[in-house]
Parts: sequence; C-alpha cells; structure tokens
Amino acid sequence: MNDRKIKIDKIREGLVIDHIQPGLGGNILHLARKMVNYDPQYSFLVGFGLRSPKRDEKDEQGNLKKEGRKDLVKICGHIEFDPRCFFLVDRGVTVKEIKDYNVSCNHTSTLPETVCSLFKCKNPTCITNNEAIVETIFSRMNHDIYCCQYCKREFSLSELIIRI
Amino acid sequence: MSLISIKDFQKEDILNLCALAKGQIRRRRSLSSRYPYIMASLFYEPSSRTSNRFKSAMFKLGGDVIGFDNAKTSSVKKSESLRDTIHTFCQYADIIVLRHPNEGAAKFADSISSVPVINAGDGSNEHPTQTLLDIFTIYDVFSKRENYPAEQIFNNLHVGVANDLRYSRTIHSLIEALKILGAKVSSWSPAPEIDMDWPHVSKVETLEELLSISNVVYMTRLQKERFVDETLYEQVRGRGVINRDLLESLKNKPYIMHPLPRNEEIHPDVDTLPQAIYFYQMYCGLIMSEVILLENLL
Repeated sequence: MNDRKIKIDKIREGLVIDHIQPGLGGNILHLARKMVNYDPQYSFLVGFGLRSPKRDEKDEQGNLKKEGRKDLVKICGHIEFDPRCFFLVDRGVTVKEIKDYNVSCNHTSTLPETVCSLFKCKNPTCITNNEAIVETIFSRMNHDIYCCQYCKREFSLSELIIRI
Repeated sequence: MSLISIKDFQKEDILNLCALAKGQIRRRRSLSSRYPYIMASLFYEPSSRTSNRFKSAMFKLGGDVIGFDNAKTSSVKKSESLRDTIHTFCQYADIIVLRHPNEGAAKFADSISSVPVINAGDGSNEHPTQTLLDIFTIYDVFSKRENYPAEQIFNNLHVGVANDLRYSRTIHSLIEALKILGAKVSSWSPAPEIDMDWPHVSKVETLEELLSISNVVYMTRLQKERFVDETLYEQVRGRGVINRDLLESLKNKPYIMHPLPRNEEIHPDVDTLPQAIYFYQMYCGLIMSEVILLENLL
C-alpha cells in the first residue's frame, strides 16, 4: 500500500507549479484561476498532500529527507500572465512552463517587479481601499519590499494580503 | 498634461517653471479671450489658501471657476464616487484642481480624466503645487535679493526643515524637490513621534542650530488633529518657537518660510523682519498657480 503512488497526468501545454507547501495548494489554485480570468477553457489538475521528499530538509548525507508532503497544481492551456506571481504565495515552489509535453522554461524563484490587482494595500486611507474598482498596482523596491503606486507606502511581502 | 507628483519632475522642469513664473511677474500672460476656459475646483477637504490661490489665479488669467469647497454640499454627500464626480466634471471644465483625503486620489483621477488634473493635496501623500510655489519663492528671493545666478541657486543652498516632519505633506514634497535640485537639507523636530528620517537629510539637535546653519528655514505647524495623545501635543507645542530675539541673536540670519496657517511656531514680531518671507510666499504661490494653469491648459 505504501509503495503506491498517485500519478497526475502530463499536460500538453501550460504550467506546472510543484513542491507547494502542504496547505497552500488551495491558494495557488485560486490564484491560478484568477490569473486566467476564470476562463472555463482552462482546466486544472491538482494534487494535495502528495508524498514527496521534504522540502529544504536534508539528512546527514545531504539527501532530501523522505516522507514529506506537497501540493501540486497544473494549469492546462496557453499561459499569458507572469508565472512568477506564484512565488508571492510560496517562495519554495517550482514553476515550469510546458509545451508539447516538455519543459520549455524553468522559472527560478524571483519575485515579479510589478504586481497588479493582487495585493490589498495596508494603508486604510489609500484610494484603492476607498473607491470601488480601483485596481492596485505595486512595484518591487528591493528584496521583498513592495510600494503601492497610489499612496506610495512601502510594505514587506509578509505584510501584504493577496486578494484572491 | 497633469500635475500629480513632484517625483515626476526633473531639475530642468522645475527650474523652467521658476523661470516662467519670474517672467509672469514681469509680464502677466493670460488665457485666450476667444475661448472661455473653465477650472473645476474640487475640494473634498477644507482649504482656504490652496483653493483660493487657484481660483484667484484662474480669474486673473481671464478664466472661470466651478466646483465645490465642501464635499457635504455636493453630490458626494449622496455617496457619489470620485470616479463619477471626475467623469462628470470632465464634461464641464478644461482642467480639474483636486484635493482629496485619500492618498493616491489624484493619480486615480488622472487615470480616468479626459482633462488635466492638478493635485492640490492627496491625504498625507503629496502637495506638489505647494512645493513648486515654495521652490519658486526661494528661487525668486535668492536671485533678486542675494544675486545668486539662477542655475546655481540650489547647489549652494542649505535648507532647514522644522517641526512636524511626519505628518506635513508639504515637507515630504519639498524634501523630494530639494533632492532633485541638489540642495543640502537638515531637519529638526521637537518630538520623535513627529520626526522622520530621510537618507539624504541630516539631523540637528536644536532649532537654534538649524537656524544658524541654514540659508532658509521652512517651519510647519504642529497638527493637533494628528496627535493621538493630547498631553504629548501640550508638551511639544512650545518647544520650537522662532521669535525676533532668537533671530537677532544669530550671526547669519536665515530666511523664514511657512506654508501657513501658523499657530505659535513663528511669533508675530518676526513678521516685519526682512527675513520673514512667508507672506511673500503667498504672492509667489499666486504667480506659480497662474503658470501651472497656463502650462497645463495651453
């Protein structure tokens, strides 16, 4: 029973977000649906709590520790948004673009320079929190500091809440 | 073209506006009499100086003014959104002057407006037109009274900013502009609760020290409404006061500026000293407003 593995189908075109911290798979899925504008033409393959080597934990020989868990999300369809947005939810994920069943691009863990309509500004008197339908725009200043382009306040990534 | 943030300006842009304002003093340009230009003055917060400065400038240029000074007497009271108000006034006016309590309101208004938007203050964020008039006042005084060459005024200038550094949006914008212009800036604040750090601004321990090292000292009032603790306000309010005795005891007397209204931070006995240029600042403000309207309308 323990040797059995769940296989999730390969995808022809799309994005594979793997090694998601267990429990964050739902957030990644919500974000993925938002990024494709809830277009029903896109489909999603998800695996929650899959067995996987534990992320970032190595044994004395330097091998990844076994018996960890992970979540996995695959987006099937043509990708037109910045795939780095998933690093905002979990810096440890791997993001791979797929074309013709092969990996066409392997994205490293870098944060996007501009984030539109995802963050909620923490400043209660910012216009984005007081006027309907004003989309937030945040620009990365350095490391994980983002600046609201409306009120010019700066926040660290851990302070910001992603509106999904 | 709109005027939203002082950060959108380069040194040449600011000096060019100052030169135009200098020219406006000598020979007043006005708007075309063939086309009736209209300015929408949308003030969601109370203002006497900024609102009337722009109205006066528009009248002097030959234009007309519509709008409101109090959101409670407009459709805003009926929960009209800023979006709808801007869309409406775009149809009535050739330019919008906006003051709003929310930071980023002017940038948002500009993004949906079909006519230029002038930011007359957005929350505690920026007040760029106040900054331009402050810069022009320094430019005019130092070129006229001190005979500084126009292009070198700010390279040789040491400006002190004093009192409420945290909540004064005029200070925030002024410091940005002085950085763009290459002036040296020092600061002093009477309490850590209203102090603020900028990487290019040096701090001094006392108001006397600030006055003695600066060519210009820009004073602001303590904003009582910003203090959560009223006892702190009472403790701080008397710490930084400029009076005639203090200024006359200095070897090098700086020019004193203030955006007004003032409370007790500048004693009225300073008003008649040649160093007191805060009322001249109001005149420079009118001239700069005329130039801003001309540059954005024509």
